[in-house]
Amino acid sequence: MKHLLKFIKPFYKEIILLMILYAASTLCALFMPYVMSNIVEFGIKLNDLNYILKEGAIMIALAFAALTCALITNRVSSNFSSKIAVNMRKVVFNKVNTLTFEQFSEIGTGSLITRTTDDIGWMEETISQIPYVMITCPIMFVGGIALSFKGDWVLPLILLGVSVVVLVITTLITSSLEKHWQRGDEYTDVQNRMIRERLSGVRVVRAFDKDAYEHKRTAKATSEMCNSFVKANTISGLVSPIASLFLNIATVVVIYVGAIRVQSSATLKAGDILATIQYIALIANAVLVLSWTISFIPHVKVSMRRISAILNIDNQEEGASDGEVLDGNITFDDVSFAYPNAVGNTLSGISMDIKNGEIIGIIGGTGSGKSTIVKLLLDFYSTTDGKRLLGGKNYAELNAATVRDNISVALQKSMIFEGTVADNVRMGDKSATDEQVLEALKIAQMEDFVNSHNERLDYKLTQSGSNISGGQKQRINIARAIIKPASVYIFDDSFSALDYLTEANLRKELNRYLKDKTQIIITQRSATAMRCDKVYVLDSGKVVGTGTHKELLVTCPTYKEIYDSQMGGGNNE
Amino acid sequence: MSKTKPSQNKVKKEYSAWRTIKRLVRDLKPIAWAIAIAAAICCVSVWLGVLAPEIVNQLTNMIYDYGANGVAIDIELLSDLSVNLALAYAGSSMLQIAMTVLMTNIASRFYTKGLRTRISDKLQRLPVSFVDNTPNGEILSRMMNDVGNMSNTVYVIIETLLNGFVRIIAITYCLYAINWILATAVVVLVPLSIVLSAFISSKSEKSWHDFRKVNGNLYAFIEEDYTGFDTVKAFNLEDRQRKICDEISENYRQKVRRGYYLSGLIQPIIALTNNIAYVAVCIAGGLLAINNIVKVGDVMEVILLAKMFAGPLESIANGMGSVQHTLACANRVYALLDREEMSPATSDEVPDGKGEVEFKHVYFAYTQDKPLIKDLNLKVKAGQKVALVGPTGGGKTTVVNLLMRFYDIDKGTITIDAIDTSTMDRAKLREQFGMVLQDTWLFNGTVYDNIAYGKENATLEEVKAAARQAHADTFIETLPQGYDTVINEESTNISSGQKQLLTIARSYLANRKMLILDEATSNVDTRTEILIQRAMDELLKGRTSFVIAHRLSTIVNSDVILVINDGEVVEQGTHKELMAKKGFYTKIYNSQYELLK
Repeated sequence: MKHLLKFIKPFYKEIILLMILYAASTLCALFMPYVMSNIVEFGIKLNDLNYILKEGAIMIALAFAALTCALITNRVSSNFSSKIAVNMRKVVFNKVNTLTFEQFSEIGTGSLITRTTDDIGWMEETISQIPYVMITCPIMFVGGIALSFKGDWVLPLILLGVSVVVLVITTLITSSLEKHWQRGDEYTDVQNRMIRERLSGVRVVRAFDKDAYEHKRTAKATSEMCNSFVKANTISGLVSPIASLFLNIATVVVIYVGAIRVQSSATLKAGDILATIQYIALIANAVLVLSWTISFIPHVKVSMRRISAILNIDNQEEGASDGEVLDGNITFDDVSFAYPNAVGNTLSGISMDIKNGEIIGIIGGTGSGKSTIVKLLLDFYSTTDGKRLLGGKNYAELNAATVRDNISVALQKSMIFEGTVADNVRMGDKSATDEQVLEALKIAQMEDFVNSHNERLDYKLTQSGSNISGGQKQRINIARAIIKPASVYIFDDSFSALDYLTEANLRKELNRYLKDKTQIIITQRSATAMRCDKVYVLDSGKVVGTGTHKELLVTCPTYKEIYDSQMGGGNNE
Repeated sequence: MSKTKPSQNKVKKEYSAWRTIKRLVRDLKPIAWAIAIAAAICCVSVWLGVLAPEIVNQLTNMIYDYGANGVAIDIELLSDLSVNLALAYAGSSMLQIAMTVLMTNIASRFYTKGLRTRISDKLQRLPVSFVDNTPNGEILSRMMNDVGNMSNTVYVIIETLLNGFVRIIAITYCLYAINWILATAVVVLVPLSIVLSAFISSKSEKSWHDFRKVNGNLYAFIEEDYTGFDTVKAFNLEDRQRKICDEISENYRQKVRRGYYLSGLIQPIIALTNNIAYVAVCIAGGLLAINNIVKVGDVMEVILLAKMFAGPLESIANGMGSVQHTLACANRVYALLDREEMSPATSDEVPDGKGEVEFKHVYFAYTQDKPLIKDLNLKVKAGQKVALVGPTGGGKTTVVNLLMRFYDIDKGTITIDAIDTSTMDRAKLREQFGMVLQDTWLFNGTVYDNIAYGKENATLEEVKAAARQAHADTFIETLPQGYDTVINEESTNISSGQKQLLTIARSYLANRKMLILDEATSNVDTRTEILIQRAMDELLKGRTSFVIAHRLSTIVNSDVILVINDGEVVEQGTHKELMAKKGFYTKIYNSQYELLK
């Protein structure tokens, strides 16, 4: 809840204004019936048309005053709740982007999405109620007590006693709510995840004719969610009727006792008792509003807890890049790494010494740890053991953003964002001119692609690039990587969807464009590794060979095996 | 024969609030019984609502009479009335409880669950083109946010309108029982208020539509950012993303604020009209009473009833305030549900399993102005291994899309065993093929589940055998929980190559008559690839297969190699024939050695 307060605090002025407005409109609302009954009592009953006109004018004036209050309230309140929710969403969104990969996976994409959207949406709806409850409850409660005790002390005590019972019952009823909301929200996450899976895997789902199965799974999650929500809504819906039942019965008792007391006591006046009965209604109303509010708390608590779980994460990656320019010397000194929750090391005892401007190949079998090295280079994870240096500086002393400022990468999984081709390339360098973007695309062998569309650089790419081919996606990722000014460029299996001809041209251009920059090329193909200054051969997370292609053919059996297996195809000629 | 793709044939209906309302009402039919019960409950509770204050009046009058006139309080009557009052309150609470249970069930089960299930069901029948061209977040926002909002507000609308109208009818009845002239003067308020509410409400229509749209954009943006988390990190894009988020959020805020503001206007304005009308009735009543046209007592009763009118009218106004928001949501939900579906099968013929595939004069374009496949002709004999090679973007994967009917062709025919695939049931068609794609797709489940996806009720033994064939068994066994290891949501806990091995195992297990491999082993190391290749050749004996690969070593032994460039087959033949031609293929083939130079 402390996070919620943090978001609400900056709006204390609005809250105070709203409270004043609510107070004013409550006064108008209280005064209006008084005028109304005056019109009837003294105007109509006495046939006094002038009085009717006079009081009527007062009433219309009051009505306009109430309207004015309501209009301002409406304006302020619609501003206030949307601002808080939007701020909260921005903070959560930005926080998620600073999480480490471990922290991110722990909650999971689907749940992070629903937390940033649905949970905050729910907060938005409830926040707007806060000022209303904050002002009307105390006004009615305090006013009710002050006024009613003046007449008689026994009757208000009866009601207060019942009020305590009501609030206790309300709290008891709603205490079971949290688990239902929690469960419901969890199943909302599940639905979200399943739909995302179905959409991203639509071809596989269709190919295996699994649509019906997937639908059944989603429907089951929906059903589970719905059951939880029905339970939660039913229980919280019970609060109001039960509370009003108790309070109403208490009113009956109050009237009954009042009648008895007035008759048996010499000092109590009937008028006092009548007044007390009327004012007690105020207390009852306040209690009703309060119990209704209490029934909302569990869901707010659950949503807030889900949001706080993100906001509370410590040790996330801090800070922007400090702009330090590091050269492309890289050292890995006896680096070992194990993924969180994994048994055994993915990498063990990796030592590498990379000089600025070198073209380095990292080759190895499936699951040998090649991509993990990329993740460590980019500081996506910290090492379990050993140290990493970039430009002579220890990673431990650099913040992650600075590291990534100096290293550019085309990741193995090509990512295309919805937007134009230029937008996607410019993610590498937001200040790049059209010419620079075009040049990067040209080097990435995408010139033909650009030319083949009338929109050229403004050609729209759909989310995840479903309107272009796998090879085109890779090359846009390459263009994005090389346009970024950096001293180290990593290509993680970036040429796998490219045919040899394209790759050959691309690499030639790369070597020219990235002259004097360090290139690290992760690959399966020895043909790709062959052209590197130095190749590290990886097997089961260990470096089993280092050297040039020629040296490795002699010294490293693993490398030779890879080479032979790939060049084997040529023998068929 | 010509077909048009749904994506280009969008049902572009103009939005009409009226049509959406009719649709909503029509959709309510299955729960008409529940609404009828709710209406009945409403009637009784309105009656109790009139009864209870009446008794309270009697009770307080007893005290008042004692105080003012010294009339002794009749304890027996007092007790009786108190008991009656308590009963009335108890009854009213019971009804309220019944109403709550009924309405939450309707809202959750009928709207939240019903609509989400319908959307989920709809996804089964939407063409791949729609899924390709729509951001995931856009679909998700409709299914999650829009439906959620609809069910919240529909409940409020039904309850407030129902309650409001029942009370109005009851009060109107009482009014006319007293004096029709005054009654008419009061009742005129009803249409006036409703028209006024509807008018203001209609002003908010655009804001709500805009708001729901921005909400969809926001959802899509967030979904995209979280999906591309590693790219965002690698390029320090946090700032860029923050700016976009701020921009969309600001837009969101403006739209939602305006919507709530306009909707929030309705209730105070209706309250004002009520109050003015009340004063008018008082004045008119006063005049009538002074001129002895109507009895003073009647006037007073009418005025009291007029006062009671305010409640239901304001409640209706509240309901009206939510209407536009609900309609905006409903409109988006219905638009998704109305999306054109894949065309149904027109024949129940099923290929006889030989595996002859023929493309005849096939034309295809993703976007109308850019034809991709132009007059593609190819004939594959049963059992042949067909390789598709050529530059990326040239149309190789598109051939797979067409073969599997993920997209429908524009012109020409594709036949399998002489049956036109466009007439076939898609599921029956796809049953013919096992498929491994470039984009590996694993879901959040165990390794076992992911492999067994290809075959219902596969035993662990079968799964293990498939994994062995795909050479995935060694790595699976080193995983912490072996086959029970859960692949995480981002599937980051295994490597890309391992993902491919799992999808290959999956397709082995499915054991289909034909096989499509689209860069199936691009992330797998060559040693493993060769082993897989051997297993695959074994598996493929006598089966037709389509292989797309850049590593030409994997396809040199194909029966037919099709060189595809710019959507056309430019060369066709065996490796030897093509090498002899010294054409496009030779150039590609030699390029892999160019790197060695």
